[in-house]
This record gives sequence, structure tokens and C-alpha cells, in this order.
Amino acid sequence: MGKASTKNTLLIVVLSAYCLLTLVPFYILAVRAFTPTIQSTELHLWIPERRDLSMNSRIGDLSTIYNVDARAFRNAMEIKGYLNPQLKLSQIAEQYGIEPDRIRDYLEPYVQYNGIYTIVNNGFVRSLIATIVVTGASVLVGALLGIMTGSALAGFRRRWHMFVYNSYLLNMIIPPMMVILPQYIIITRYLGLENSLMSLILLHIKGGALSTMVFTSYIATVPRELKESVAMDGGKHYHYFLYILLPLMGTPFAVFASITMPWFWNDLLHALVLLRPDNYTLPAFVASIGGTFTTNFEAIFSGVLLSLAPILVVYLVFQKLFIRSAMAGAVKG
Amino acid sequence: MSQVTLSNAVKRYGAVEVLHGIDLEIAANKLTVLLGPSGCGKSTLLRMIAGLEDISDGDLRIGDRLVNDVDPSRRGCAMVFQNYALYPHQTVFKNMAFPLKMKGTPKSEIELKVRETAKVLELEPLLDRLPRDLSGGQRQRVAMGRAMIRNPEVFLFDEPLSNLDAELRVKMRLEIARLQKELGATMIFVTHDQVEAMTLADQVVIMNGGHVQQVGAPLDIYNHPANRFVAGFIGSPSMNFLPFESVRNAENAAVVRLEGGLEIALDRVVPDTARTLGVRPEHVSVGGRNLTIPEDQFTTLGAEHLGDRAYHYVRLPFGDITILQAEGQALPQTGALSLGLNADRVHFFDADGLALGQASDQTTGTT
Amino acid sequence: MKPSESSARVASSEGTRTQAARARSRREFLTDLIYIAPQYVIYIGLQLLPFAIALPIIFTDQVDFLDQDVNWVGFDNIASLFQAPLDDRLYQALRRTVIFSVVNYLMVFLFGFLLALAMFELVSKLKGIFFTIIYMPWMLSGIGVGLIMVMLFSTDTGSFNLIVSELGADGNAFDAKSETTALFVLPFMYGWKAAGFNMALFLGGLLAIPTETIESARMDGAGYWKRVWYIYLPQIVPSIIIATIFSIINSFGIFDELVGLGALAGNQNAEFMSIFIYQLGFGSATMGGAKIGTLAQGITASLVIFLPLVFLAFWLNRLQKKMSYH
Repeated sequence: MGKASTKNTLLIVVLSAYCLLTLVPFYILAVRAFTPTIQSTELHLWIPERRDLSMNSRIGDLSTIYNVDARAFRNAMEIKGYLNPQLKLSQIAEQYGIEPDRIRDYLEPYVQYNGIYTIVNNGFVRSLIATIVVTGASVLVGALLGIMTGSALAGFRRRWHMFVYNSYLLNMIIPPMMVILPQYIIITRYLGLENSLMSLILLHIKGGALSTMVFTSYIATVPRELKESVAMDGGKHYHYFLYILLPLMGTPFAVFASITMPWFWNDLLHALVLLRPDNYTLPAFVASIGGTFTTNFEAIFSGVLLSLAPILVVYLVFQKLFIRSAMAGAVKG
Repeated sequence: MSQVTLSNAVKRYGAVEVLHGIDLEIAANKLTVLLGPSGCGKSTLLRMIAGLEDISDGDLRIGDRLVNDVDPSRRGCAMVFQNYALYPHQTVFKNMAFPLKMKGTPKSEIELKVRETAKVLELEPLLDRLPRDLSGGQRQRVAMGRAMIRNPEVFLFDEPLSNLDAELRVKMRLEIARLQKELGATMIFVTHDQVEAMTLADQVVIMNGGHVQQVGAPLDIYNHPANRFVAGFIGSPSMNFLPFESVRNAENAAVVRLEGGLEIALDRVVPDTARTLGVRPEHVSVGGRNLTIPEDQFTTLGAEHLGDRAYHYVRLPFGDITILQAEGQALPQTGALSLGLNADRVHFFDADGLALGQASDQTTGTT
Repeated sequence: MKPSESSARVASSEGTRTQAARARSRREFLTDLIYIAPQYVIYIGLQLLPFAIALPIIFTDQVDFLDQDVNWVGFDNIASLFQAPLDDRLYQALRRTVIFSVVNYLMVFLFGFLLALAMFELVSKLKGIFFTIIYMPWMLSGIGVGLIMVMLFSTDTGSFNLIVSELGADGNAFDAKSETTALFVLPFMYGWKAAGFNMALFLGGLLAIPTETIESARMDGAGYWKRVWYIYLPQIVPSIIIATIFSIINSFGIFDELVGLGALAGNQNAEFMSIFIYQLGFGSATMGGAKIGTLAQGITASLVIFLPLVFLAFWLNRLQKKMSYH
């Protein structure tokens, strides 16, 4: 008894320590997403206090530190011609006859929430919507196609059903990098889907391996008497599919969705290859801010944090489903 | 209501033939039970009638209509499945309404018919429930309601009571019998439980190995089994079979010499081609004078006590036999065991296992 | 006349019978087809057809996707991969990929298996919370992991480096852009990210072990690690094989994390096979990267490197089916 409980206590201590360590990068990410780049050479274990915007700071310094776009600033302030970067804000207000509060209102967000302000101004929301559309459509259409395939394959009534099923397994073992170049040719040249979210959705749902496996094995457990009963009642296969089968697919759909959602949400390669920046999904967007604002750490880490946040919320809300699905997938292989 | 006729019906799965030319007439407005051990083809036969399995050869008629290639929904059959096949996400009401919905019946009429049927089956308070919230018996009744609502010519039941506990099974058996009388419908009922068959059926069809073994009223089959299989299958415990070597017939009497040398004296003539004698446990009595077994030739294997009666199992040189005794009457502990056989209730089978003329026919009709 | 007439009738009724049966099975076949085709057409078109398209390009000098002037060059592409100027980069990329894959495979067990063992033995209400937290990094994007590494291990600004120097040690213990980081720290971070996924895989296998076999081994006096070796491991071989397949495919294809480490922005130390192929195919088209070869060479490299992997994974997959005890 004593020995067993000692072992258990030890396990709890070890696992707690591991979990705490697991959370550390997330915590640091949250801190760094709100730490001004200029302070990034100091260790911050808590979000540092911000200095208010000083009217004595030079506009050129603000541009380099906070990535304020000087031209956008000139346009917003209706300043024509060259703006000397050495000018202090108070001097600008004086020289061009602009209300100091107007300058302050414009520049305050850059100073206070520079990371978030920068990424939102550079297309974060557009990417977020694109990602939601792509992930949602991929999961829903992928599931629908998988259920259709499963409804025909379940039970393997014919030998060619087994062949179709096995050929999907090939998909699991082909690395995406191996076929991305020819896939690009097919999608752009033959389907004309350059820079279209549709191409991403197609590439996601083409991987029928998981959906076929999950839905076929689950549909095989649905008593075949249900189908026969529909046939005796005068229903066709589509009646069975629509009225009986679809409403019963909640459980396997949860498995399918919780496994594929992180894949689809975080798919960088296909987005980078097939989309242009105006259509980027979140991973490609994050990669692009990593490339454009190489020195604005606050923006980069805000991008990572904000693109993680939605799926993390979904995960935490449905964590039980995610965990059960991960285990179920594992048992089935 | 219609009768169902099968002529030379064959079912093949690839090269394997599972039903070998079934000729069968299932009477209209009666309850017919298809009875047999598992794997005998009874469920396949039922599913063929339903249209869920193709007929490989032969004809199937419902009424006068040849329905070999008719879609299941157009055959006028309704089926109650072993697991009821209730749609798990639909309420009782929707389950019962489904066949009508498929037919395109107007909503108001569906409502009316479902309520009417629910009333007959006492399902009215349950109409809004889901199948998972129902007891086994209630599910069973919903499945029957879904079948009844279509007004089918023929009801098909595929072992519908096998998922119920013993008590409920008796209750549902009575209910099905009552419904059959009320509706006057043709019903075909598949089961492997002979008690169900004996109590429910107007007509029993006994099947084995893809062949029909015997068709008849329950008591007829019990009293006059057509062959050794039926004789052994019907009745529990099973009939005793005593294989014998030779028989000496005399005027209204015979002596049968069993394998191993024992002899049975009978007050009746035994057909010449008979090779096996069959007698049920209840027709063997201790203390008779037909068969005397010396002390060193038998061992008692034990007894099953059922309260009012007991079955005693005895090992003899040619095999085991079962004897029914009233409770409290034991077998003799010492000395020889002498047994009496009810001569009118003794059956004879030839080398192929076919029953030979019954005792009553035998005494009067021997030429 | 009579006999022949009746035999003719039998024949015709037989004819209609087989005809009807054939019509029925044709209808069934069509229904199956309607339900299977939509997904299968997409699958064939985007997963198998690419191979058919890729094969001829291997033997041409196609420079990029827009190249109009395409000539046959035979096996030159395969040869050119192993000649200057490409050979050096190819060997380097291959070397890094292989080392990374081996270390990464060890991490599968260091994280996934050990955590699964701990969770398997643990009796506690905290189990659910532990699982939730351990699985959480799986939600992170690969690019996110790469950028988190930049955040932690960059010289002068990396939080980890800052902590180390705060504790009084050498200031820049790590360099996010170094090869050491890409080869040894990256697998560690990848193991951390995939810990929950692999743990679920192994835990699923462990939970499928009949408890009687464990108890009987205990009765026979086998100590804990003996039980792990002789009872647990042999019975979770299918899980191990699946984890192996995933690990191989993911390691050789690793891309997102490397982009986070700046592989497309000039960090040569993070140039693995996938980056090399990407540079060949899209190099000029996207940010930072420079064109280092032709599209045809990219496709050739991807087939040469990945085809053996596909066979390996295929073999492992069959092995897994065979090794399943339950």
C-alpha cells in the first residue's frame, strides 16, 4: 500500500513538473507578445509597463522602433511633401498646425499595443477569416465525402471495395513535400485555381485516408437492419443516407474533426505555395510577418499568439472530445 | 391477406448453396413458424421472402403475384427485425411514421394513423421518446407498430423475442398471438426456440441444412415426427434413440435385439426396414417389463430435478437414455433395471432416418 | 414438340432471372459508384496523378512553372544532383535531415512513451488536466514552434539565453540560427509539440493490453522495468510501428518549423531536404530564397529522396497489420 501511494505521489510530482514546463513557452509567448521590441534584450517574466507616448520623441525613431509607416502618418495628418524624421512630435504639431491630441491618438496604439496593432493593420483579420473558411469547409466537406465513401464501403461487400479502401492508405505514407510540385502544376494549370482558397480546401479533402478509415469503421457498426428496414419501407439509398446515416455520424465526426482541425488550421506549406499574400491563411501570414518585420519581435510573437488563440479556445472547450478521439484513433491504428 | 408460395426456391452464395429447392406453402391468415437450429437457412428464407436477399432459382409468390424481382417495398411485406432496427435518433412517433413518409402520405393522415396504431399497442404515452429511453418490450412493440402501420399483406418476424428476458418473452408471445387473431394477418415467424414455435404457431416449418424437414401443426409434429432429425429436435430433453441389430416379428408382438445383445419385447409389430427405435423420456417407465438391464450393464449418470418431476440419465452399452420420473421416485440402487416402453408412443426410423408408419397405423394397417 | 417447348420456356425464364439479377447488381454498383466517386476522383487527381505528371518532367530541363522551352535531357537531372554546384547543398541537406530524423525518433520515446507509461500507472483525478496540458502544444503551428524557438534561443534576445545569463552563466548558450539548434534543439521542441499525440498513441496501445497478462507477470515476480520490457513493449508493437511511420514521414518532410527558423530567409543551417526541394521548385517565386536550380531538378530530388521512404512506410504498415495481437 505505502509503496503504491509513494509511486503515485512521485508520478503526480513528475507529471505536474512536466505540465508546468509545457506551459512555460506559452507563458513566455504571451509576455513577449506584449513586450516592446526595444526591451527585448532584457529578461521579462511579466508584461513590462509601457511608457506613454512622449511628445518629445522624434518621428524617425518611432518609425524604426514601432514600424510606424511614415507615409501613412503623413497622409493621415494631411502633411504634404517631405517630413524630416528628426522632428519631434511637438515640433510637428507646431509646424504643421495640427492638434497634438490628433497626433497622439494616431500614434498611441502603435506604442501601447504595437504587436497587435501591427499585425491587424497588415492583414491579420483577413487571414483569420480565410483560415476559418478553409478549415471549416475542409472539415465539413471532407467529413461529408468520407461519410459517403464509408456508406458504400462499410462491410466490404465487394472485393473492389477493399481495393478502394487500401488505396487510400497510400495517402498516409506519401510525404506532402514529395508531390507538392506536380500538385501545383495540376492546380494552377489544369484547374486554374491559382491564389484561390478552393485549392487549399481541395488539397485538404483529397487526403481521404483518415476520413475513410474513421467513417467506414464506424458505419460498419451501424446495424445493417436499419438499411434493410428503410429498403422495406420503400426508401432509396439516399433516404437512408440523409435521414438515418447522417444524423448518426456525430461520434465519428468528432473524431475526424478533432484530429484534422489542427492539421488544416496550421497548414503552412500548401498556403505558401498556392496562395499570394492577399489571400494568406494564418500560418503563411505568420511566416510573412516573420519575413517582413524581422526586427519587430512584438509583432511576430503577437502573430503567433493570435493565430494560436482561436484553435486553442476550441481545443479547451472540446478537450474531452479531442482526447477521446486521439485515443480512439490510436487503438484503431 | 395472402398466402406465400415457394416453389423450388434456391439460394446460392457464389458456389455455396444454402437453400436447396424449397417447396413450401405458407397459409394465408395464419401464423407460421420457421423453426430450426442456427445455420439451417430459416433466416435466409425469411429474408428472401422480404426481398432482402435475391432468389437464385425457383419462384416466390405472394398471393398470386410472382415477386422474385419485385422491390422489397412493393411486396407488401413488413418486417420486425431481431434487434428491432429502430432509428436511434428518431422518436417513437417518427419511427412509426417513417414508412408512411417514404410513401408520401399527407401529414395529417400520418398523424392519424400513428395515433391509431399507437393506441392498439398501448404506445400513446411514449410517442415523444427516443428508442434508447424505452424498455426492451416497448421497443419490440414500436417495431411491431412500424410494421403494422403499413397494413402489409404479410408480417415477417426475425427472431423478435430473442433479445427479451424470459418473463417478457412469454408476455410478448401472447401479445403477438392476440394481434394475429385481431388482424387476421399472415405472419411468418423465425425462431430457434421450440417453445415459442409450439405455443405460437398454427403451422410449424422445421428446417435443417437448407431443407424443409417437416410442415405441420405443432402437436402433429411432436407426435408424428417425419424423420429422426425432427424427432430429436422437437422435445426437450431429446427423444431416446436405441439402434438395434435385428427384429423378430410375431403375431402382434416383436422382439427387438439391440446392439450389445439386450432385447426389448414389444406388444406390436415392428417394420422390417426399421433400424432405430425412438422413444421420448416421458414414455419410458421404471418397473415395466419391456426391457431388463442387468446390474453390471448400466450406470446412472445423475438426475435433473425440476421440482415436480426429474429426468434421470442412464448409461447403457449402446448409449445413454433419459427417463422421466415423478419427483421422489428414484431408480433402483441395486439389482437389474427394468423399463417399460409405451408401445403406442414408440417411433421407428429406417437406415436413412425416415420415420416408418406410426404405431397406431401399424397395429391396424399392416398387410 | 412438347418437350422442346417446355425446355425453351425454362430457358427463357432463366434468362429473365439472370437479367433481373444482373440489373439489380448493376444498380447497386452504380449507387456505390455515386457515393465513392466524389472523394476518389479528387484523390486520384491530386494524389496519384501528380506522380504521372512528375515522371516525364524528371527527364526534361524545365526551369520553372512558366518555362515554355522544354527539352529532353535524359538522366542529366539525376546526375546533376550529385555534381557541383548542387551536390554540396544536397549532401548537407540530406545529412541534416537524417541526423534530425534519428534524434527526432528518439524524442518520440523520450516524450511520448515515457509520458504514456506515467499516465498509464497514475491513479489520480488530475489525469484529465495532465492530458489536456500535455496535448496542448499539438495545437501550435509548425511555424509557431519555429518562431517560439527564435523567441527562446536567439542570441541576445532569446528568453532562454537571458535566463541563463541572469543565472550568471555564459550569456549566449544557444543560437537559434546555428546548426546545433536545428539538429538537436528542434527535435526536442518537436518532441514537446508532439508529446500529447504520441502519448495518446502509446497509451491507446497500453490500455489495450489485457490486465491479466500484467498481473500474471507480477505473480511470476517480474519487477516493473522487466514488465515494461517483456510484457508492455511486445504488446504495443503496433502502436510503436504507427508512431514510427508518423515520425519518419514527419521528420523527412519537416518544413514549417524550419521556415520559422528562417530557412527561407537565408539561414543555411536550417536547410533540410524539404527546404532544398522547395527552393528548387519555388525559389525565385517567394520571399528571400534564391533560385538554386531547375524545377525539374526539384521534382527529381523529391522523388529520389522520398520514394524509398514510401516503400519503407508501406512495409511498416503491412508489418503493423501482421503484428496486431488483438
